[in-house]
Amino acid sequence: MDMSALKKYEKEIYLCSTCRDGACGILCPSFEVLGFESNTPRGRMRIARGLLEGRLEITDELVKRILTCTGCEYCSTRCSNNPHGVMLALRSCLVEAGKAHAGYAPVFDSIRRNHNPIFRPHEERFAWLPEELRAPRKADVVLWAGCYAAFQYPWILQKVVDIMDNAGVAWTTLGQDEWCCGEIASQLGRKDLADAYTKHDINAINRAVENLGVSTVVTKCPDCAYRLKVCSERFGMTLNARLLHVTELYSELIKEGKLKFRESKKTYVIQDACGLGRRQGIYEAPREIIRAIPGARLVETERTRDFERCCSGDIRRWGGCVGYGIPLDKYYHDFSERLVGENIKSIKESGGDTLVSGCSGCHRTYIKGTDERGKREGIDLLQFTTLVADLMI
Amino acid sequence: MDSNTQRLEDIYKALVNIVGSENVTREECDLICYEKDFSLSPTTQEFIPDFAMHIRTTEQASEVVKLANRYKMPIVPRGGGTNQWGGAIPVNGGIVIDMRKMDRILDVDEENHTVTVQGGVVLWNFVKHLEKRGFFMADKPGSWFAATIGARTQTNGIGYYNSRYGQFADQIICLEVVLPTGEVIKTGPPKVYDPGSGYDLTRLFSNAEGTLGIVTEVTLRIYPLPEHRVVEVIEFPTYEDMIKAVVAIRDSGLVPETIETMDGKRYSRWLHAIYIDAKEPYSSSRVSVLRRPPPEVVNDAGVMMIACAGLKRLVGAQIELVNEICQGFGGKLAPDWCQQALVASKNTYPHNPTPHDSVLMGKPFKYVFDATMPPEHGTEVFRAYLKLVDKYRVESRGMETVYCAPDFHAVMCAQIYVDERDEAEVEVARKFMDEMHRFVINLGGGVGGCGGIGMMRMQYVKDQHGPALELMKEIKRLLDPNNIMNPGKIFG
Repeated sequence: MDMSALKKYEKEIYLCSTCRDGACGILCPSFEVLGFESNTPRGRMRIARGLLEGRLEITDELVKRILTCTGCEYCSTRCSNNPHGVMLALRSCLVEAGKAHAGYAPVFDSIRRNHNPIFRPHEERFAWLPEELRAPRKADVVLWAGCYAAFQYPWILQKVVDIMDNAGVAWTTLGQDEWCCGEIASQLGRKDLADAYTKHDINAINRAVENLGVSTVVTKCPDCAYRLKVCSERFGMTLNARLLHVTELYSELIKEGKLKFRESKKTYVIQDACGLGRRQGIYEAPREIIRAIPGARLVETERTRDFERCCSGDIRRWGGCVGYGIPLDKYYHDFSERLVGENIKSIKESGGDTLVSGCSGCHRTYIKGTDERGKREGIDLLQFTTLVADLMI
Repeated sequence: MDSNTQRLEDIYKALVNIVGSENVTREECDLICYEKDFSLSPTTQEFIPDFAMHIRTTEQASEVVKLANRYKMPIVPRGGGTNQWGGAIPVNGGIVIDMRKMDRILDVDEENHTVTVQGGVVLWNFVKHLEKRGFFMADKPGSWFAATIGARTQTNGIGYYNSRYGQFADQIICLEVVLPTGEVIKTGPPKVYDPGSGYDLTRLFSNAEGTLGIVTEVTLRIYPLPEHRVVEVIEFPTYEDMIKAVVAIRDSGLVPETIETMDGKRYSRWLHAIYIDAKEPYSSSRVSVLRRPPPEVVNDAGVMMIACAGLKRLVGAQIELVNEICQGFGGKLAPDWCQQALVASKNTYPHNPTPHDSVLMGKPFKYVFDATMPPEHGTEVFRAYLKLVDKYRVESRGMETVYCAPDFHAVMCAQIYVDERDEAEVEVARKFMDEMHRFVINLGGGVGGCGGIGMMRMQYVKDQHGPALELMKEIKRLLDPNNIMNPGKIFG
């Protein structure tokens, strides 16, 4: 069995001593729902050790233990021994061993062919925009569409454009130069493919800085922002533009007085998306938006900020690639539903009536689809962009 | 199918009948995760259990125990798996019961200041729950993010607040135990510490390391959150000066909530680890007070962390006296940023920087010593420890000590960094451990105090208890005739 991906993490794997802090385990979402040590990060470290030492074979059950990691990186906030890196290496081993979900290979193929994982022609990435606005032009801000929003729910991008127009922000797109950021390939275990795409994108942004006078890139998807920001450092490349998530942009516009809101009497709860909070430390920008809405109340759940419980949205990707039209295995679906149930319980306990998320993935998980709005057990479900577009004056 | 395979198949089916298939596993990838705990154990040792399972009720625990008796199959109850001495390792295979799904907080009696919980409640969840109600529990160990309350009753341990309220064992009012033959008992009255009459079964079943049954429910003392709490870090020129100050504080009549001391090495390692933590990209939402490399502190120095709590006026007076006493022995307050870093790392979990420390050293650390001593012997033990570090040329993590009520005894711990893949290193660590423990026994101290005996320190039990050991074994045989409850621990 090819364990070369895991071998690179040998040091980390043997550094994990099931330590007395044990902080990675107890709030790991998969342990919370499924139990057993094998569903904790340190348990997965043991599994990795077992595979390295030839004591374990990759069985169907073992695959489940690896794929029920939601990738939320809660463990990485508690332990500097890179448990998430080992998880990704485990996924790479599954891919190498041909034991990954059958849906992965077509996704990798789509990324190579279409520059997106959603089996849609690359040319249609900006089909939601009027033709004259699709091509790159001189502007201060690049709107990074991201594959999911561009192909599955372009209405959200339209709203981002409306908000920027309303605030007088000069924006452009990268047009055909925007490719998949690579995060999904990385999460599914194809680091090589992921890295190639990220490098392309960083170069494309830097070209835009030079040719179009761009200073800022704004992404709708937290994971795109994370990937481009973090990887540029990892690759030793310099990203010559500021990278902002839309919530950070809105927060800046509020501070500059360019974004003002009507009154709202609702009580909001924020889902601190993993890609925004734990991965990038962006906790304040979303809160500043709510605080800027007259009359709005903000409440926190018991587990908030870096303790936020993952929505499990990504399980629906690597558990069966549902985002690509490939059905989700029941095992992962049930797991995800139970986790969402736990979250809804926490939200109700907090007294909030509207859940706002900065990540479309979270939003989609709660409402089980790609709709703009939804309701679950009496809780209104919104994304920040929808909220801002609804209430801006 | 041979007879053993048939036997295991029968047991599996019976377990599924009791808890459902979702709560029992015999998959190798699950079982391998239960073969070790936080103790020193060479990579080559393998202790795979036959089954792992979750239980949710006392009745299920009882049924599983009865079943295990029928098949003479060992049971190892397991909490957070953070034991330092191999207490949670399934030495003879069998069934590992992962208690962490028995996690309900059953009753918080705000009037009588008691709380009753199921055995698998993790300390962190418990502490958060109490804080919301305006209470705290007098125990906050480094493992509070993982350790369960049931397991804590079985191994005792040290943590915050011990100097005023005693160790964890002193907090236990009553236990519900599933005996090794399946009967369920309560060990005493539910609201008061003193059983009043009869043998004190609560103390018998405490610290039993899972050898006398499964703890399914625990009633503990709790305390109202104090009006005011002050924590100070005081640096002393030598370890000896610090010990003198500790003894003087004890004799002064002051009742600090916490006194924890460490040598210069430990202090320095701690600050380094927090420094590394502060550099992590994730630290933005956490306490990141230490953004510059910490200073090197001489190994022989002593550092005391002391906390006083209560009414604001009282705390002010206490802290003033503490400072006065400490100054008399050359103690002075640590620089602000060191204070903040250390206090934050202790107070705002998860900042106990174990993983960071291991990453920094490139090796995990392991416990090689813990013992209880009168505080006066602190300096002697520390010197013996320094000599051994020198003799065996090990990479040490320093020594820390917590002083515990009611007699202010010192629980001293030391760890060294060990690569468990290197058998020679493991062997050296074991020799170090042996010499250190024997030194303490000769001084009249007690082996244990933090984590029990487990499977690694059984050789000292005889030296410690003499003929009383036979009585303990008799009790074990009486309660557990088939020796199914966590066999291979304490006595072998």
